Amino acid sequence: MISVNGKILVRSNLSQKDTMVINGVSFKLAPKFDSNFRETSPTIATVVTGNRFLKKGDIILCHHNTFYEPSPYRVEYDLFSIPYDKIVFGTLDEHGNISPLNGNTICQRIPIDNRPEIPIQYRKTFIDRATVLDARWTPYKKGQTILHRLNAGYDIVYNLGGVEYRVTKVHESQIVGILE
Amino acid sequence: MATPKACNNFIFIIRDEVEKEKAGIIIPGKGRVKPSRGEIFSVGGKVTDPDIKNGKGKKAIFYAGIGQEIDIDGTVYLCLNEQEIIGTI
Repeated sequence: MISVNGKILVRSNLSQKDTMVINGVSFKLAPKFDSNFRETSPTIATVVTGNRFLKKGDIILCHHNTFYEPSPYRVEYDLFSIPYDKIVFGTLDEHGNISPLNGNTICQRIPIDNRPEIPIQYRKTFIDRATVLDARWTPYKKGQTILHRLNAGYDIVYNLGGVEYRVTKVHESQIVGILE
Repeated sequence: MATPKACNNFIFIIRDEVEKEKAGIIIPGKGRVKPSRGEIFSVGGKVTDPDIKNGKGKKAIFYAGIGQEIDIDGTVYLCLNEQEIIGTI
């Protein structure tokens, strides 16, 4: 089967965020009770029928509002037909490293207050700037500070092999400038 | 000191100073109106309008209450889309 209209066929495990491995111990989670869907919804899928950028078997990272039970993209139980240019953020290797696609840049948020006595999770970060970690296919360079639209940074949470990863992505169209 | 450089079809503008006094009367903070004009500081590469593209250093007029303010080392830059500028002087 060949996908048409810029769509690709993917398979996604809908319970991929139900287990997490911490220090070698596997924990069963109950993410469906969490109200933050970025944390709970599945984001990883495997390509079944790709296009010229993706081949069969590639692991891709998608938007968190894609893989759920009454999803409009759903074909059958774990098979989804998704538009490539809107939903796919990048591909993943076996170690969980992401390679961005579709004009996305992988960034790191910049903390406003760097005092060591404040725990990392309570440090506030800028909502209009970030540091580029990976920006292939875009004109930005690694380590560069980009300025973007307010709150344009999108946090992706994914669970690969029981290990949870978090990255922030900014789309190229949301970048307003760079710092030199 | 880091300086911003605009990308895509965005323009960075340094807004004119807010009028603090009028006819010898000091205007309170609440009554001060931010002027809707400023100096073009940086122009993004995808800006198509030739007047804006070559307008670095010129004064620009834009719609009031629009744009995103970005504070870099104490200097506030106003980030505007190309379509949000009314004209250049």
